[in-house]
Amino acid sequence: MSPAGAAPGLSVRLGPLSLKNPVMTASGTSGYGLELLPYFDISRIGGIVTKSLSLRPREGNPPPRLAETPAGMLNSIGLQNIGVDAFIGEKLPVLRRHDVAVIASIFGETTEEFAKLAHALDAAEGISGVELNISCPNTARGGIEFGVDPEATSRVTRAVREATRLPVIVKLSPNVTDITLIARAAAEAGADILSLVNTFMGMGVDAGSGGMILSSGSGGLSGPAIRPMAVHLVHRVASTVKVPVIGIGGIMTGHDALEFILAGASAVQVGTATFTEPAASLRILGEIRQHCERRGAAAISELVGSLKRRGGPPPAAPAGG
Amino acid sequence: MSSPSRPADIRARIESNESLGSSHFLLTLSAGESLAHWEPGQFAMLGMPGWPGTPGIPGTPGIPRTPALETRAAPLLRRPFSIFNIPGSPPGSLQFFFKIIGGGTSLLAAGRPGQSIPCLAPLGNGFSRERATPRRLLLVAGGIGSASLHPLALHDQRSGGRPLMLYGCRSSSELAGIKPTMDAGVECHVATDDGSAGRRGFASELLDHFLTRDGPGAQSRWLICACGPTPMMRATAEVAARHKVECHLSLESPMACGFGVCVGCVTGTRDEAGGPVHYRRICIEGPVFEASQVVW
Repeated sequence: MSPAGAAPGLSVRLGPLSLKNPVMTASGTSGYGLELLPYFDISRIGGIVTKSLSLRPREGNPPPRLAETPAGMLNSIGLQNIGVDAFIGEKLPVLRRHDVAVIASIFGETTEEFAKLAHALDAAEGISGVELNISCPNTARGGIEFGVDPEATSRVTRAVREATRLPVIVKLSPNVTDITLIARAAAEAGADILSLVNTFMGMGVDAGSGGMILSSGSGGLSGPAIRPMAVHLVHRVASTVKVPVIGIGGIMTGHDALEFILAGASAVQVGTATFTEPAASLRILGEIRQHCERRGAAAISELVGSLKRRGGPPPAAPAGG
Repeated sequence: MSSPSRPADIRARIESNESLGSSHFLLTLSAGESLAHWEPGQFAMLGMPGWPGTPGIPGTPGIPRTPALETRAAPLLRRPFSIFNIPGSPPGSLQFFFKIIGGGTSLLAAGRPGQSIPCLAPLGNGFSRERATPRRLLLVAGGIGSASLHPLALHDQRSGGRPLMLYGCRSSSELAGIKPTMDAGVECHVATDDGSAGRRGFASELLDHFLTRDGPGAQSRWLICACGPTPMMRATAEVAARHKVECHLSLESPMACGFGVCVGCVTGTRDEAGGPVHYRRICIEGPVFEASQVVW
């Protein structure tokens, strides 16, 4: 229990990565961080995860790129981004003026591209870690996503591990038969942290016109609609691997974030909520703080994985009696 | 006019929400001090009443509601709406002119005075260059596209200009979409798809007819600004190009965020004829684009 009146400790340690608090923005939902500056002081949140960066700029998919769904949305942006060089040259110098951890999300078409990206970011000043977006096609394997294949996940994680001293986060795709196989492969290949989940694949059909809603046909489903599935997967992965886990998936409130933390996440990322409210991540942080105060937790870290089975002992405890 | 305020995310109180007939509504919000200045053509992202944290949706006599709406939560995402009034008129207010076209606008129509809704504004690049032209403004609006051109017409009028609006809609029953602009004394010409009011045909055909009759040299007399459904804007861009009259379009698109982070609302653009296509965000790089740059 916290001493009366003391503010709960919100700083978190995820292996080699220390953050002032557990709330980050999720990749692809806050641009390069600078887009948030008109709305709140980004140095107050735990970190910014950038839009996924590639070696060269990418134009992305033709519109329409998004559609709202019940309690969620589908997107198929096609990884439009300015490229790693423009990020380092133009965006990073401005981000460095703000006291916030910057995690660079990266993706490549080959293992070598991932390694080159990690190497380029390693040399740049002001990066706190890299997050591997492995939900992208691997051209060496006929376009199958890295993230659905334990071997490709292992290879790309190892290559990045060797290319940088920065903390390495591997972001897992939920579109797999057994996420713990991919989680283990990433952890054994040297990932410091796992973040999950990326979007669930989905498709929207316009029954009126008889066509698909998104230009690319299918896209990624995000928002509160996916939260129970994401909490379930975070719980499974956190119970399987020893590396720290970051929970992602439809977090709109502090209460939602606590679901992930109790299920085993050491930190969270806020995604779709930022679209509906630019300062959502800061509001959610405030709600987490209030929750800790109400529960009398001296530190947020006390709550990580503290989930109890309803009406019984914690899941990990022996059955007893 | 001062430069636009920095965008701010406020909870705006609904002052009034007036039905103007045939599913058209004029929504008036109290703007607050942080939203004092904006350009004609800028927009807001509005959360619907009933959005998480807003009071529930009361029953509203006179507004058609489907049973599904009674039980459905407000949509997750906000919706983009052009700002309809010019700053200070009426004082301290932000107005939106909208038509019920789906679930989101149905909920907005049910918003009652005293409720607060989330309002992120002012967003995007408005018609700032267009305001400064010595040429006459030729405004081409399709349907509720009049909402973004109306403040430009009013501003132009106040600066001594004589804007002319060409308005296209399906039938005479939808003329509510042009009434506020007509009432403000702006010269308006109408075309309807079924010929029940004005000329029969589309707004772009009305434009073609007008420019043909206006004779050679139209490019030195007119600057076209258009807003409406995509097929209408595409046709308008073609007519403008054929008559060699400069044309600026305020584009529409579904948007998740409205402030540049989702990258969902892009349009293909070309900086020069035959050049590479770049996807630009309608919310941040637009919504106003030069018609010749837009790739359809």
